Amino acid sequence: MLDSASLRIAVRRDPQTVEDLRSTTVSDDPVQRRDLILLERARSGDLDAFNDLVTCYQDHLYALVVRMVPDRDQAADAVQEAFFSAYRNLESFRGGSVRSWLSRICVNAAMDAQRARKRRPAYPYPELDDESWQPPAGEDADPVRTTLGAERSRVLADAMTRITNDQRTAIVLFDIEGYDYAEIADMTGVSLGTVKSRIHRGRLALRGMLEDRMELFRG
Amino acid sequence: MTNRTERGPAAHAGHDPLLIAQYAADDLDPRDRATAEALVNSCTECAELASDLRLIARATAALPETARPRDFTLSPEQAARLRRSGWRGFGQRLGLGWIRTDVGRTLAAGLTTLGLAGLLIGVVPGQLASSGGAAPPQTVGKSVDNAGGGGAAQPLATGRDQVASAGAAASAAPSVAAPEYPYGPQVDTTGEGPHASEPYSVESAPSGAPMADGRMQYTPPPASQPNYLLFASLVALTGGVALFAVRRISAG
Repeated sequence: MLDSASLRIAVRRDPQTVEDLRSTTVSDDPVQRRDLILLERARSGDLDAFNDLVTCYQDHLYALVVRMVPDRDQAADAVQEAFFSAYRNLESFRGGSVRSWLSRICVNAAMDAQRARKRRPAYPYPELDDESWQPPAGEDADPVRTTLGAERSRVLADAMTRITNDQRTAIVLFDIEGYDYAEIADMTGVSLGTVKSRIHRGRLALRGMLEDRMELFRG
Repeated sequence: MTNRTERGPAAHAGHDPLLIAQYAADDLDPRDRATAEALVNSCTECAELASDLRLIARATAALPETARPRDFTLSPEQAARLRRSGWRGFGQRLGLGWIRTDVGRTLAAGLTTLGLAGLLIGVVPGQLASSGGAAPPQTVGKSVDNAGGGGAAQPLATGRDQVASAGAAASAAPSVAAPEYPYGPQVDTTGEGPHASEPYSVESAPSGAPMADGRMQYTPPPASQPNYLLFASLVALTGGVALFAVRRISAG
């Protein structure tokens, strides 16, 4: 349940301080402790340990990147490149959260992919027809609610692909990943004010595109 | 902006949507927040916009994850290639991994700074002196400093009979810093010397041994000293730039 929305929001409300992120002391968090052990073993040449880290985080990181780079193939390539980069740069890990470290590498890879995409635009957004955008439905789920939820996700994901790359990146990192403004500014290399502006303007742009479909969200 | 009596789309068109977006995200200072609250309370469209923005933010956070299309674990061949590839692998085999750490960055920055500072100290005063504009006054009493070489600041020898070599400077730049050379009129700040107001010449310049008339004999200047400061600065600057270059290459 590490990836649950509620936990992400909790993380955002109580962001780690810079000192926490840089800390190299042993963490009380078992997940963090496991990650640090795996990373240390990977540093000493244990490929299986690194691949265990990949297995732990590849779903989450792909979900992050595919929202920033809506082309699924390019997103997959960016994630693969990010793991290559992480493996090459194991020595550069300074302590703190392994998950955050990997996320930052993936965000950089995604932004590189966005720039490459801008230079060589491909057929946009094949994932819009993909069933995986629909939320999983339990057996006892209300079919109307499920359908509404699926339609809401579809139109929102569609609108997300039509805002600017910068706005989408900021919104994904803030609303979905739960990073705070300062962390996003650090990750994307822009000022705090720019991050805020991108998030607010991006939401306004989404609202402009979804104005006729807002009943899906209000229901 | 608006007041509480404004109603309808026409009034809403003049309202600032960015302010409402900031209000919806609870991202305003108290003064702007009061302004936004007044807008939201008086304008139906602004209230609807704020509500919609909150709903969109909530729905964005709840977007379902997309299933990944493939497994991203590394094969042993990929790992071996990544470990060995390029300058990074070469540097690691040479034990130069520390260059990419903070120690390497600090060392590179320090060496570059030292090199630039050394060049600044060692070269710029010489350039200023040779241009004749900003050379510091170097005449104290009847003393004459070594005016040769690059013109770098040298400690002055004080006392009326202490004269350093000036011949090299005379041949190198006789007309530039003439007032400070022993050939020009010297200002006798003590007012004591018999030659206080006489110009010196190479032949008559006082030097190590007294001549029959009591003046000092001229001796040729010593060979110019190598500029250690300049050399060390260049070495430091080159080292710093090289470290930065290695860090840059190995980060690729």
